[in-house]
Amino acid sequence: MALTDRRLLLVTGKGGTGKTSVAASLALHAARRGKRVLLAEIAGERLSALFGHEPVGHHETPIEGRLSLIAIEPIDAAHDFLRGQVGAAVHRVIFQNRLFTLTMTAAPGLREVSTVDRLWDLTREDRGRRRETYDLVVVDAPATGHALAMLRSPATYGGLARGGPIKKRADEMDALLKDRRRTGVVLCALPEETPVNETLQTAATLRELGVDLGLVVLNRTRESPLSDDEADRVGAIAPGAVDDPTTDGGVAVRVAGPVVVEHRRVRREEAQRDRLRDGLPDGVAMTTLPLRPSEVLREDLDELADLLAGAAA
Amino acid sequence: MSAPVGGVASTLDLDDALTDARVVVLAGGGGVGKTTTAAGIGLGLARRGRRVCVLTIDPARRLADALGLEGDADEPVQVPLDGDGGELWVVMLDPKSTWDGLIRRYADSPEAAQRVLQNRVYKEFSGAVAGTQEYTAVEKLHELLESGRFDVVMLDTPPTRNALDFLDAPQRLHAFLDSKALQLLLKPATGGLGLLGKGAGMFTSLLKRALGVDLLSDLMEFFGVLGGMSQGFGQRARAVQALMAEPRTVFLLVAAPHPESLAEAAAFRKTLSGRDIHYAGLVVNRLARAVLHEDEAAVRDALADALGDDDLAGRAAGLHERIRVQARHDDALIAAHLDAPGHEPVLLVPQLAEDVHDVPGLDRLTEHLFPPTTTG
Repeated sequence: MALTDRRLLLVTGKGGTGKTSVAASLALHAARRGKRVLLAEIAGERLSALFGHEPVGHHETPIEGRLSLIAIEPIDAAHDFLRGQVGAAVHRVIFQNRLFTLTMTAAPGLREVSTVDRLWDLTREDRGRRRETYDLVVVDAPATGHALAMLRSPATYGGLARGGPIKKRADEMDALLKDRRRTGVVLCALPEETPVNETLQTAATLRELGVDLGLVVLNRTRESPLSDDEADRVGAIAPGAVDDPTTDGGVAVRVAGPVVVEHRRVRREEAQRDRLRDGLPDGVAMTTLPLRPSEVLREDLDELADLLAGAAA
Repeated sequence: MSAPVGGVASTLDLDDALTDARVVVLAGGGGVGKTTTAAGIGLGLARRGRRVCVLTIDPARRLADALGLEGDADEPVQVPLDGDGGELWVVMLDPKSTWDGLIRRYADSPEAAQRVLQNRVYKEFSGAVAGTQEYTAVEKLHELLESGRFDVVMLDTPPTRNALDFLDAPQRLHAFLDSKALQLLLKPATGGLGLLGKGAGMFTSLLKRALGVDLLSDLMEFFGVLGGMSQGFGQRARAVQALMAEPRTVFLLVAAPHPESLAEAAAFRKTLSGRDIHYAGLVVNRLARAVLHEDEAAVRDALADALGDDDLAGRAAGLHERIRVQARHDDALIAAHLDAPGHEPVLLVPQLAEDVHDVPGLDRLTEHLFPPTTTG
């Protein structure tokens, strides 16, 4: 099942692995192919700035072409969720107080389940005449641990609630997340030891949860134009310079250390890339994005979308 | 001072900043090399004769293996060091067991403790990743200091959006347990949400409807027992606050040369002003190493002369040019960061040739963290 033909894509990964850029590029890619796309982020708002738009807050806002944005605030989502359960008037009286805040803090997974509830609503195929229906919702999800808590929350919540309307809704959400035709996770990683370990661990956890891992994006990869022998020859210009960056001397002597350090770094990262590829469950697609010298801006997203197009098809 | 890595020079001298330190708190986002930096500084201090314990959250596997951290060891493990000097110990935080220990300590009776430990809401709460790590980290820190076994405890804080979240965690928990609303919620044991008046019946029935009956009763019990421990938590919160304000508790920030990471550093520094804590400076890891002022052609010519191989020289010069662009970018980012108002000492650590995953590797890192002072 092509990635962008699903209804819900959750982009997650360790902090600093480029989730936001990847989510934005995937959304842009799908929108360019004619889909109505909603790009959602959770607890915080950075995407509107990336697209050069005013903050959009907790409201679906069309920003360009077929692309809309929303910044889901879990607290607001929880109010929406409970309002839906008890009715607006009662909600106003009962939940707008500190008791509610307490419940929010302690009730396991309430914020998470409310966020998933919001996503469930946004992905529905028929949202009535007055609300936009989307072909695809791409979520710039929180970092892995928190994202997994989100994926678990409907089952946790449904289990705790046992009966009643919440149980029913929780089951529907759980079914959405575990349906590989509708939902896929995109995991972002870096070619370094800890991120690779975490990615492999998350892949295993997703499998246990029954949530489909649609794509792994290995970000900031680099290449070396040298063979190992050649790097050694360069290193031989300045023996001992590799560990000591302050060596004086001619240009060739000062350059040798940095070149060898970079070459070895590339090789180490390639080894991590291979370890990731070999460790992923069969059938999980992986793609790489090359290192960029500077941060991703709006004009870079189109290029990233092209790079991801093959993997998303 | 040590030689500059690029155009920006280090101004933070850790020997100086940590002379009297009893607690060193390292803050920063995820993936910036915080754990490795904590271990490197810890080793440096141990090499200077001090007994050091590094409290870490989630070390890279190979580093953990090299340091002898097995499984979820909740007890400090000593890292074997050759030669004279102090001691280096490492302990990995296990939030769940720290929580269980707290409950046992503050509960009114073993039976009450047992009731909480079995409570479903508690199990979810204590095992959850978000939120509770911050609290247990400071709690464990306190315990290690009280043991009297260490001269210095280094705290590798959990990566959070707000680098100071963990500082407020004990206070937040205490405020939560102490709140009036909680007290009201707890009354049903003695007849009632009656205090809420007429609405109470409706309230409970709605809460039951929204949350489910089982969840409600588990929540009540959870709050009930935790509420009884409020005093103990309150004392702890005050003790932690006092500890953080001590002159011998030193804060360091760790960042990577990326815009988001440095933006976090700036936000952290802003939060710090107005707080009674001692901030020593910023460690920036993994700076690209390159010769900044030689362009690709000059590098190619020099390498061609040295190697006698024009083709190889051209490719090596291309590789150098790539890192030179990166290094200039890193430099400009850090310079811009340092231009912001307020003095911030900074320690620049270059990209190392090898990953750090054993004690010799850590020693090489330590040389950059504590560079030999040169005259002039």
